[in-house]
Amino acid sequence: MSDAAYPPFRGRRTTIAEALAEAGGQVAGRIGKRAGETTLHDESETIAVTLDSDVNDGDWVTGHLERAQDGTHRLASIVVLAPSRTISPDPHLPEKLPRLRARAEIVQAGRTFFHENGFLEVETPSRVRCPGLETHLRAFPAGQDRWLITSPELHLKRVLAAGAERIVEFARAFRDDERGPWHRAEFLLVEWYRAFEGLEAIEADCVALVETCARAAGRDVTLPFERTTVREALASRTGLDIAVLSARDDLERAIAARGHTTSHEDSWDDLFFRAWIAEVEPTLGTERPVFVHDYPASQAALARTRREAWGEVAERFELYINGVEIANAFHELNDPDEQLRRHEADRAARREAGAPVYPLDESFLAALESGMPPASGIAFGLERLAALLLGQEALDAISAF
Amino acid sequence: MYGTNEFRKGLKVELDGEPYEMVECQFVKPGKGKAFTRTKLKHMVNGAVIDRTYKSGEKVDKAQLTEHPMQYLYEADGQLHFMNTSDYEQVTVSKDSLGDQPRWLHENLEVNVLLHNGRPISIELPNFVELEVTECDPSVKGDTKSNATKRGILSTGAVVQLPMFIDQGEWLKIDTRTGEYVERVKR
Repeated sequence: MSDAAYPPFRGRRTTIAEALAEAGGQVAGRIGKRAGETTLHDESETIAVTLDSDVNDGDWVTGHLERAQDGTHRLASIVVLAPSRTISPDPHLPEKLPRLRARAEIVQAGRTFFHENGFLEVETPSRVRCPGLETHLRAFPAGQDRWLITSPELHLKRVLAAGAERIVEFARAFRDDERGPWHRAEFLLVEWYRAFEGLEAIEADCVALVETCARAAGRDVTLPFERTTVREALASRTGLDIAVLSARDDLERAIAARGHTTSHEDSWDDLFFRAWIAEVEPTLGTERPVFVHDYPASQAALARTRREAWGEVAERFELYINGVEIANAFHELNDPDEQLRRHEADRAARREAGAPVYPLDESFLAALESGMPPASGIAFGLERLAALLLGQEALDAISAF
Repeated sequence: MYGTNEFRKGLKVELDGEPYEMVECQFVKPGKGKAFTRTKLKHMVNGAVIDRTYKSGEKVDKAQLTEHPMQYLYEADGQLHFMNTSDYEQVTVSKDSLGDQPRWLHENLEVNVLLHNGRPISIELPNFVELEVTECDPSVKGDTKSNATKRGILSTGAVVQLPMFIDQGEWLKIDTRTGEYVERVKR
C-alpha cells in the first residue's frame, strides 16, 4: 500500500565515499539542510550537493551522484525512500554513532581478552528471587517475588562452586535510584572470578584488560599502576588516620573540624565517606590508575577480612582512574556461617533503614555449604573505562539511549 | 531548603549565614556506601570555593537574596556607590569584589544589585552600554570590511578593541557580556 511513499531500495548501492572515488554512482543517504547548504550523508561520508528536485531536510533518498565541471556534486534522478515527517526523537544519536562504534570495539576487545585467557563466559539470570543484600542497593521489582539483579555475583559463585575455575560474565545490572554522569539505572557490569587465586591475579587481569581496551581505543596505557591503601590515601589527603579514629564520635569531630557537614544520624561509614568522597576520591588515579586496598572491615560486603596490627580490614580493592571508580574486587568469602551472619546483618540494616528486605538466597548459601573453592573476583565497570578512554565525562556520551 | 534531588549548578545556597553559589554538583555512590552528592560551592562575595558532600535526602538553606534596580553614582576609596531607585537609599559595594564589571559603569547607569540579607554582593549589568571613545588612533577611512582592529580607551577607562574606522569622541554600543564593540550610536 505504501510502496509509493516508502519504496524499497533496489539495485546496487554505492556508498558516498565509493561514489566520490569512482566519480559517480547510485547512492542512498539522508538529506540535511542547514544555513542555505544542502548535504547528503551516509555512514561513509557527508558531502554538499545540489538537487535536481526538491526534497526536505531529513528525508532518506537515493539518486545518482554526479560531479560537475566546477567540482560540485549533484544528485540526479532522486527518489525519496523515507520522508522525514517530524523531527527525530533522538536528535543527538547521529553524532554519537562514531563513539558507539569505538565503544563496541572496546567491549569486543575485552571479551576477546577473557576468551584468550581461558575464561568460561557464562550468562546468569537477570530476574531473580534475591537481587543482592548490600544495604545501599535498590533493585527494580520484576513481578511476583522477583527482582532484577544488582550484580550477577550470587549466581556466578554457584558456577565457581560447581568447579569452573575461571569464569566471566558480561552482565546487565540494574540499580534503582542511581542517576549521574557515572551512574545509570542499567549498565554493563563485567564480573570475573578466579578459583585458587588471590587479589594479585585480579590486579594483573585489570592491568592487562585496561591496556587491551586502551589499544582498542587507539591509545596506549602502559604506565605502571599505583597501589595504595584506604588508610594511606585518606591520611595523605586529609591527615586523618582511621587507625586512630575508629570511634564514631572521634571521626565526627575530626571531619567536622575539616569543615564537613555531619549529622548525628551518620554512621562511622557515612562520616568516612563524607571526607572520602569530597577530598580523596577526586584525586585518585589522576596521574596513573591506582588500586586502593584494605577497606574498613565494616565495608567488607562479601570479602574476607584480615587483622592488621591497627585493626580489621576487608581484603578488597577498588581500581580508580581519573577520580572515577572503575572496579571493586574481593578476596571472596567462602565460609557459609560468616556469609549467613553478614546476610542477616544486611537484612537487619535494610529493615532499620526502611529499605525493602530481600529474601536470603538459599541456593547461594547452599552452594557455599556444599563447598566453594577459595577464589577472588571483581565487578568491573567496562562502560566507565570506555567513556574515559574515549575522553568523555559521562556514560551518556557512549550510550545510544 | 533545597533537597539533594534539587541540587544543580547555579543554585544559591546559604551556609553558616554566608551566600554560596553551587558551581559543581555530582551524584556519587561509593561501591559499598550510601548515595551522596558532591558539590563545589563558591562564596558569592569573596569567591572562595569549598567542597561539600551531602548525603541523599539532606537539605541546604536557600540563600535569602533580593534584587533591586539601582543607579550607579560614583566611586570613592575603592567603594562603588549605588542608589536604590525605588527608595533612594544608597548602598556601597567593594570595587574589587566585582571582577571586571566596574569598567562598564558610567554615572546614572541602571544596574540590578543583588542583596543578601540587605548586604550588596553582586551586580548585574545591562547587556549593552553606550560609552564615548576618549582615546584611539585616527580612523582609517574606507576600511569597513577587514577584520583588523585597534586599541581604544572608553570614558570609563575600559580598554577595548575597535574597528579601524572609529574616531576619538564617537559614541559606541558595547556588549558587556563579551566586552566587544557592537556599533556606532548617535548622540
